[in-house]
Formats: sequence, C-alpha cells, structure tokens
Amino acid sequence: MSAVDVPFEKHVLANGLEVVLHADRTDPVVAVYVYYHVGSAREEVGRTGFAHLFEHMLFQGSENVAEGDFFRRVQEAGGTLNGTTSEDRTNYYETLPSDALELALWLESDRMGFLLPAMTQAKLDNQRDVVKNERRQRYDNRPYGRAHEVVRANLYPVDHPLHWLTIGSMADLDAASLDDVESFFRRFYGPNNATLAIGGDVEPAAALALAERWFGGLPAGPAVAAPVPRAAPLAESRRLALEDRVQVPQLTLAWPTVPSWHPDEAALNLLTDVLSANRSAVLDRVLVIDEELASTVAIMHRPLELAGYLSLELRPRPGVTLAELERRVDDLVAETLERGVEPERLERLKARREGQVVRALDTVSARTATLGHYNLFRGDPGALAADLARHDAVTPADVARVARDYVVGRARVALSVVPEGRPELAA
Amino acid sequence: MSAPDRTRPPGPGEAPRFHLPPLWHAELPSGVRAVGTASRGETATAPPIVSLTLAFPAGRLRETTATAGIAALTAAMLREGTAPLDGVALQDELDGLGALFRVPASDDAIELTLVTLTKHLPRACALLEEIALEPRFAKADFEREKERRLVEIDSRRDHPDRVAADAWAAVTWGEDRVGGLPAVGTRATVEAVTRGDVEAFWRRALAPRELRLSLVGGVDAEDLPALFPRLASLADEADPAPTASLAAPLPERVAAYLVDLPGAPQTHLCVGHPGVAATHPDFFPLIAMNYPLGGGSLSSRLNLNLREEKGWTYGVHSGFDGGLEPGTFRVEAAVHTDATAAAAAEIVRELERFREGVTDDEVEFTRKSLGRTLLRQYEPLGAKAALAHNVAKYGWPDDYPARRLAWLERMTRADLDDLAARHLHPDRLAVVAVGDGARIRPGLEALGGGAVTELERASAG
Repeated sequence: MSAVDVPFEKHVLANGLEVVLHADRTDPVVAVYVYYHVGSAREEVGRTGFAHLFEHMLFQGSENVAEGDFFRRVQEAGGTLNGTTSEDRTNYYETLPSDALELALWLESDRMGFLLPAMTQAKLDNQRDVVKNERRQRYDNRPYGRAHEVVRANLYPVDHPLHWLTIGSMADLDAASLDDVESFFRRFYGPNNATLAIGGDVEPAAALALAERWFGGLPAGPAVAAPVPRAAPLAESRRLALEDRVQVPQLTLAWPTVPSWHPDEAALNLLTDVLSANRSAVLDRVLVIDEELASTVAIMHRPLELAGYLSLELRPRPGVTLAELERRVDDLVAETLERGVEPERLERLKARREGQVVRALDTVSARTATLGHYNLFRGDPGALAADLARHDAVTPADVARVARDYVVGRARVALSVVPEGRPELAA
Repeated sequence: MSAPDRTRPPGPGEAPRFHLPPLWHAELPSGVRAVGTASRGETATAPPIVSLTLAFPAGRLRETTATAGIAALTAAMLREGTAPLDGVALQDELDGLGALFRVPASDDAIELTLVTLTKHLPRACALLEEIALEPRFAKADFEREKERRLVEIDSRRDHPDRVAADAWAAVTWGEDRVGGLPAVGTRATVEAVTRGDVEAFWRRALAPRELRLSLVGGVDAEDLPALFPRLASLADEADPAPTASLAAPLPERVAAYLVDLPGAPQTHLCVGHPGVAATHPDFFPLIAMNYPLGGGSLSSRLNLNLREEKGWTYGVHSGFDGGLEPGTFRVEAAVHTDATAAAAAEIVRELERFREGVTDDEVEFTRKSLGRTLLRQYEPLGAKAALAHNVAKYGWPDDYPARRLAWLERMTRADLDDLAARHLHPDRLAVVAVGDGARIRPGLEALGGGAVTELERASAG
C-alpha cells in the first residue's frame, strides 16, 4: 500500500447520498464532511456571491436546531467546525471527540433536510452584512485585493460564471432575497447532490447505520447534472491598469488553460512548478536572485470544472519597471522552452509534489476531506492515487508542449496594479 | 428503519479517555536538550512523517532597538544556503526529500523546522545540522534579502492590519523599546545592519545549553547521537546576548489613537493592554476566561454582539498572547467604517460587562468546550510538535494538557471572575483605529474622553 492509499468504504443511500467511511482508531477523533456539488460556478448573472452567502445561512439554524446552537453544540462537544465555498463545491465539516459523531450527523442532516423553516429575513440581512464585511476585509481594503477579480472579469465573458469571484459583488449581495434562498436550497442541496464522508475512530458498520438513520429519510432533490466545461478562449490579449493604495506596483499575467481533469492539466501543473515552484525554479532564480529584477514571483494554475487559467504575479525591485519585467518574463519562458526541462528537475518537482500530498494526509480530518473531495468530483474516493500517477507520467516534452499550446505567444490578460495617481507605471 | 426523533439531539456519549502521546527527554553530550515522541503505532493510517525542530534562543528578545529586525533577517538568511550548498541547491535537496522547511522567528526563538517522510530521516537530520551550523551568509544573498526587507517595511503601510499592529505596539511599549518596533525592523535599523552583525547574532545563539530540539512522529531518543553527531559535539563557546524585557505599564486611561487611511472602506480596530507571559501561573486560566468573552469561540460575547447581532464585522476576536516575556491582551476586528466608534465603544462595554461576572452557563460551556477539545487536540503531528516544543521551551511538565484538563474540571465562576478582575482593565486601554479619519475621528474623540492622538502611518520609518 502506498502512502497515499487511504482506506475507505463507499455506500450509496436510497436517496442518492453517497457515504464514504474511513476508519482509523489511533486517536479518539472523528471528522464529518458534507460536500455539495454547487459553488459560485452555478450562479447566475445578477446573483453573484450567492453560493457563499448561502453557506453562511446554513449556520443560522434549521427546524430543530435553534439559532446560535449549531456553533454552540459543536463547540460544547469539543469540536471545531467550518464551511468553505469555491467555484465548484461547498463543504461543511466538523472534527470532534469520537463520542460526538452522532451529534454532528444530527446537525448536518437537519440542515440538509429541514433548513427552510428556520430562514428569516432578519437572518439573511444580518449575514449579508457579515459577508459584505468579509468582502471589504479580504478584497476591497487589502492591497492588491481587487487584482484577482479584475483578471477574472477580463479572462471570461460577462455571462461566464468564472467572470466573477465566489465572494460576488456588493450589488448582487444586496439583491439576494429569501426566495433565492429557498430556490437555491431546493435546487442544489438535496442528498443526491452531496457526499457525506465520515472518518476516524468509528466502526464502519456503525457509522453507516448512523448515516442511514439521520440522512436516509431525507427526500432526494431534483437531479443535478455535472457542469459542462465551457472554454473561453481570448481572441486577443488585453492590457489593463488598476490604481490602488499601494507603494509597489504589481503585474499579473493570466492565460486561459483547461478545465480540471483535462488531459493537459497535470502537465500544466508541472509547468507552473518548473516556472516558479520556489527559489530553484527558473523565474525565481533568474528574476529574484541572479538579475535582481523582481522582489516576488507567485504562480498559480487553477483548473476548475468549467475552465482553467494560469496566472503569474510579479512585483519589481525598486527602479525596475513593470514593462521591463514583462519583457524578461517572456524571454525566460521562451528560453526555458527552447532549452527544454531537465529530466532530473522534473523528477525532483514530482518528489516535491508527492511530499506535499503525503504530508497533507496527516490528520483524520484531512484524509476524510480528501476522500470526500475525490468522491464528489471523480466518483471515486480513492482517486488521489490516480491523480498523483498522472502527474508522475508527465515528461519534459509534455511540459514543453503545454507551454507552447497555452502560454508562449498566446493571448493573455496583463493587469498592472499601480500606486494611486501613477498610471504611467503600468506595463 | 423508523424516522429518528429530531427534536432530541443525540448528545455526546461517554467522553473518550484522555491519552497524551508520551514524550521522551534526552540530552546530547554537548548539552543540547531534546524532547520527542515515538511513532503513532500499528493502527495508524496516517503516512509516516516526522517533524524536526531546532530552536535557537535568537528571537526578538535578543535584539536591541538599534538592531530591530535582525532576528527575522537572520532567520531568512538561514534559508539562503549552507557552506556546501547555495540557496538554490539547498532548495533542490529539500525538494528531493519532499520536505517542508520553514524558519519562523518569534519573540523567543528562531525555529528551524523540517517536516518530511520518515524514510528520509537520516538525510533530513544531517541537512538540519548543516543549515544550523554552517550557514552560507553570502554577501549577495545578504544584500538582496536586506533590500527585500526594506521594500517589505515600506509595503507594510499598505496593510491596515499591519499598520494597526505596529501602531499598537508603538503606543504600548514606546519606540525606545524592542517591543515597540515591528519584528521586521524599521528602515533605519535594517539599513544599518551588516552581514557581520547577522553572523555575530547567529554565533551568539549557538550556545548548546540553550538549543532545543523537538522531534515528533517516530524518532527514538537512543538514535539521537547518531542522527545529530555535530550537535552532539558542539563546543560550548557562545556568549549569549542579553534578553530584553517586554513588561509594559498599563495605559493611564482609555486612550484613542487614529491612523488616517483616507477613503478606507473599513476600519481596523485593535483594543487592549499589556498582559502576562506564557510562564505566568494564570496563563492557561486566562485562555479559559477569555473563551466566553472573545476567544476562538464563534459563540463568544464579542462575536455574538458585533457579528451575529450587529453585522458590523466579518469577525472579532480577543486573546491573550505571551511567550517567555509578558505579552498582551487584545481585541481585534475589521469593522465597517460607519460603525467604527460604535464598535469600539461596544468592545469597551463588553469588557466592562464581563467584569460584572460570567454566568454559570458560560462556565459550563467553557469547561466542556475546552476540556473536550483537549481530548482530540493532539492527533495532528503539528500539535504533537507544539506540545514537545512548549515543554522544551517553557519547562512546562510533560502532562501539562492533563493538568489543564484537571484545572478546567475544578474551575468555578469565582475563578473566572477573579481572573477578569485582575487581568482585564476596560478603563485602561489603548484603542487604535486605522481607517478613514474624516469619518471616524469625531466618534473616536468621544471614546477617548475628548481626545484622539493621530499617529503617522509609517511612524517607525
């Protein structure tokens, strides 16, 4: 058994809820994760930010759980809890001492089945304010905080759900109504659109019986089809500038790539590692260390269900312009491609990636989350091994090919963030 | 199967037995001391991972106001390679081990931490020794790192939360003390520091009796000398630097401070006063006392009021921090600009109300929440590492979590009220607000008894 094979069982309840169980009785800990196959990529124009606002509403009580009791009961049991929303999914989780497993299942099943009777306008208004403050704190009042949103808005057309970020716009948050809460719940929060993962100090048979007891009676919702990828090629490059309360300018370059699990995804992931995994990678080594042109380089490949993009974020050293930095980046990427990636470097980057994956499996909570995640997206809780294997199979030629197909000389978004009143600093 | 009765929540059952990972202690011939845990055992499905930490007593407490930032700079330089391996080659080596390597600097220490697969243990230990004992400290690396820090110091002005933290420290300790300056240093101190200063700072910290190793996840004490031969024979010739004090006086009254960020959509609030060291007997009891007030709890008074009831903030938190030296008690929140003065006043009022007494419900909630949290808390490798590290650093007993559990079991309302009376001072607070001055100044003036002191954004410049 390899280090990434997390033992599990999978069952499907009559209402379509997929249940994944992972037993590890070393410590008296259990983790419960509920993954719903809905995120901001299912939102519609005019209602951006709703999937995440809805996630907040799920902590406001349900028919049998009084307002404030969700937090309180989990904490009183010694547990920790949270929820997160991405473009593709929303998850909710608790980690608790093992005797509190059934409590968590009661709480999660009550909001999956009996949320609406507890929803009120006052709760919606309050959480809308909380989320608007979250947006101010994490985006509007943070240096460079709006860059990602502007890049996305320019990579994708107005009616493409990746045009906006999961946090949504203030105007759309204002427009969200109780009717929206009800229809979103009925549309996406049925057991047949979810995975329940339970891990830790529990007998699988007992855990399955408890899952059946609390979730088995919930009615299935309407069928929810898997999202269909929607490519959004850029016809031509776009060049933009944004003024912000910052001292140092920043350049973001972003290219459309592929949706998750596309055959080119793994090679694109390794391309990002080759370019900027850490100081040993070509952009960091040359731009930061050897030529002292950049103070920071950050890269990200985000393959999502609908589409993906690769973005590179650079801040120059004092005295270096964004335009100079951009030219040098283009040269370096082209040179790397011409020279080819050394096989040893690629192998080392694979070892690095595997180390990250293995280290991340340290806790019951992380293993349970991993199983839930892969079940939701791949229908196979154990798909982590296949995920690693496809990265292991990438060759230097694959990396060069995807660099040519998606990056070098391809249309892109180039966004300069410049200090207020200094538009001339834009690339 | 019949439908369950949902109106009757299935409460937790019988609490699992509290089981702490047993620690071992060892001392190398040189005097370097080590604490560790053995592997998780046969039943574990977690991958075999080890976490190694070597702590140097070279944190901010060993700085002076003239060398502010040198601890963080030295920590950064320890990532820049060893005599045989430059920074890039070192990174390649770490990547080959699939390792995570970090070098955080705190007030107390610089900590070299390496997490890797157990199968790489011997190589990882040798690499850790090499990093610690043979740092490269190359001139070009030093100059680059220094310049990067100067940019970082300038850029701190763009982050309202960092501006608030820096301003709060400056008014609490004063800029003539180590505590009053940012950990990254100031432009003046970082510009003045030389490569020789960094090397000397590192060398003075290499006193074997002050070095602490913590090794968790499957290292046995008897293997230590073979795994760390160079640390085992490290000569005792360092001359440790004196330690700064972080003790600070309480403010005379509620004093309001403003850092103006024209047009900011939110205000970052930081409200508090000096606190206690981690070694103070009240340190853990204060964590318990703070729990219903504004500690990690989403159900805390502050959070229920400012977030769930008023909707003024995404979250508000209060907490005591402290290390070898006294720390602080602080309430922090980013609040909507228009709610700034009301939120600050509400925070002060919550502290006053808290001193009027906790409820029996709050005592039971805290007892259960924190007590039962201890039952599951030590499962992650990182938590075991923190346990070993705290034992090594503060001299806490191996079973300190069990003692905390025992304290929680006997804790009474009177205990919490007494702690609040002695350690919360709602009439002697610094209130720092970083936001749009034109809109928030009048409210802050009212809060500060008619006066608000305006601070420069880069007061540490």
